[in-house]
Amino acid sequence: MSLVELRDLSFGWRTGQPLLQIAAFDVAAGERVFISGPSGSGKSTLLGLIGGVLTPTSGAVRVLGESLGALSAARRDALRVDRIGFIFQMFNLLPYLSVRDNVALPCRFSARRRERAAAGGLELRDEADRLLGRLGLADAGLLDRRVTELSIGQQQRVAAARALIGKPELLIADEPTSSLDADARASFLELLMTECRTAGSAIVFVSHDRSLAARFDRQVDLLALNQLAGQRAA
Amino acid sequence: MSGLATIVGLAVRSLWNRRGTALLTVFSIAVSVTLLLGVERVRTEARASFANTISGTDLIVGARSGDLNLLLYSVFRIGNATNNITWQTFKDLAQRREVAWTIPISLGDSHRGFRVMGTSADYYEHYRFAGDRALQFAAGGPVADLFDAVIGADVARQLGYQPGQSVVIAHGLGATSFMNHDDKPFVIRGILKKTGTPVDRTVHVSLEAIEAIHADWQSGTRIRGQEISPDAVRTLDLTPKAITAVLVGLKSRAASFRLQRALNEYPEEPLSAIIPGVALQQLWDLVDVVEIALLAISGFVVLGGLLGMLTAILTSLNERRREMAILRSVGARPWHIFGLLVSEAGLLALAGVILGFATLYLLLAGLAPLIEERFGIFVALRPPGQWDLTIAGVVIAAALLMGVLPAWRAYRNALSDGLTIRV
Repeated sequence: MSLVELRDLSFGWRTGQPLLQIAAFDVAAGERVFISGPSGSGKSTLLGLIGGVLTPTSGAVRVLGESLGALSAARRDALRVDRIGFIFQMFNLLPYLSVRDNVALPCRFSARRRERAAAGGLELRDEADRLLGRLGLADAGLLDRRVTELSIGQQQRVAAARALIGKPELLIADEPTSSLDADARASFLELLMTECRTAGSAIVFVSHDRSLAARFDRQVDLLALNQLAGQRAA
Repeated sequence: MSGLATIVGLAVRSLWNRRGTALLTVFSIAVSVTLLLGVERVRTEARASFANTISGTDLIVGARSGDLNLLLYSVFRIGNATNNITWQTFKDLAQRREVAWTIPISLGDSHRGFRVMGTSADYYEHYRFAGDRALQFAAGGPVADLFDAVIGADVARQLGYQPGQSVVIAHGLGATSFMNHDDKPFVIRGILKKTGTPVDRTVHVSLEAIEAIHADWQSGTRIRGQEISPDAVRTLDLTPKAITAVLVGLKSRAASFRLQRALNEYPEEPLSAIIPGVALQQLWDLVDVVEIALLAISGFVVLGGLLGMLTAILTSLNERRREMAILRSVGARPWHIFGLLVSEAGLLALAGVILGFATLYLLLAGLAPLIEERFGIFVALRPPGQWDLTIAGVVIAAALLMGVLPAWRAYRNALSDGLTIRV
């Protein structure tokens, strides 16, 4: 069974102006998919559809065997919280929480994530520390610091730790490396991949930077996937 | 772990992160709460203070005047008597069958801003205040000699007087009088214990002393060439010709209304007789309108404070869309966002109410002596009562209710923004 299944999906922000038209798109469990496309091509929109934040105009989105269209908004929220971790390009962390509290945040909203985080026999904060340690943020002084005192690269790694806590089945990453320099980008991606493998999470990674694509199991060009992209160009 | 605790915890930390503006909001709510609580506090304290001033007295009798005027000048030393009653009338009244005791009082002179009251020994025996408390001496004893004075606790404290000290009484009521009875000084014989009533601010002498210091006076001035020395005055008949008012205690309270009617129709001279409780009620009816107006104004000030809070939260929403989107992306449901903003409003109000109470008590503690000195109202520091807690509850409830508006907008934003932030 696929982790994510999109079938005959179309979506537009305004009626009569469809943006995306996708015949089929699947993500297998544990699979690492790289989606590329220029800005404005609908990458974030696609992630919103997979995450159940946006509802397709027509067609079906199935995540973990559940048809999102058949679920209530609350159930969609619950599914997303329990099963999906998110990393964004910027503005990921809450400035008024410590690094550790930022990482533990998903476990405050999801009992499942909390249970899975504690499954290793660790306290929640220890699990947060462990993940941060794996991502190269082991320095104890750093853990209690305010997030605004961290560099962008460090902030992104904290965000990755937060997305991975409680081992979600799917990790959705929206341009997470765009604000990092080349060196930081490579090491960040390396850590992210390793941790995804450890957690057993599939990853859907969106970026306009094709140089990263080689590290993934599968590369998808959104312009090719979106049946409307060619039409618009023509 | 409950979601509510998480949300309130986030609200606290989010507010703390914006503490500069949050504190201003808290201050404005605190000021309004202090005002509302303070108005009510002064109102109840004033009533309690007035009600405590006189008890056990069934009737107050004076020359024909308004009921309130008679009550205010005879008991609270506010305002002046328009006329006197004759000694004969007083004697007739005192001898009536239903009368248990009488306290004649004679007002009109002062000592350094404190009123001087001529009275009889019955005053020390029968005067009651605050339920059934009698006057007690802190030092010395009652008036023994013609030129003895007994002073209230505040007079002693403020002027630093001790028993045995000599004082001069001024003619009239000004704090600085040009006409003094300096030829006939008084000796302080006793100091009364604090009562929390205008008694504390009174200099008591005998009725005869009032007569004696005015023996060589006529029409408010001393007659030149006819001065009478203190020794000579003792040989005169010092029975008062007139007094200002009489406090009357009856054998049976049931007789109050009958005697009141009889005195109001007294054939020898025009009198007014009042029942203190009834007259006080008239006073409250009179000031009720003002009090209600003050309360209404305070209520609107509170409303203003809360609207200020609402404005602050609403204007912060746009710059906080990012915060909301992050929360959404880590799993906060729309109702969590809703709860976050409602609890923010509640927390601001709670902090405002707590600060408001603190300010109120600080102000009361600081201003109580001043209020007492200026208005003779004794403001006791009581713990918050039913009214205070109700106000606190209503303010917080109103804030929570107002918080629904920004919460609803944030909720809608959260739904439409999804996980992307379109700023």
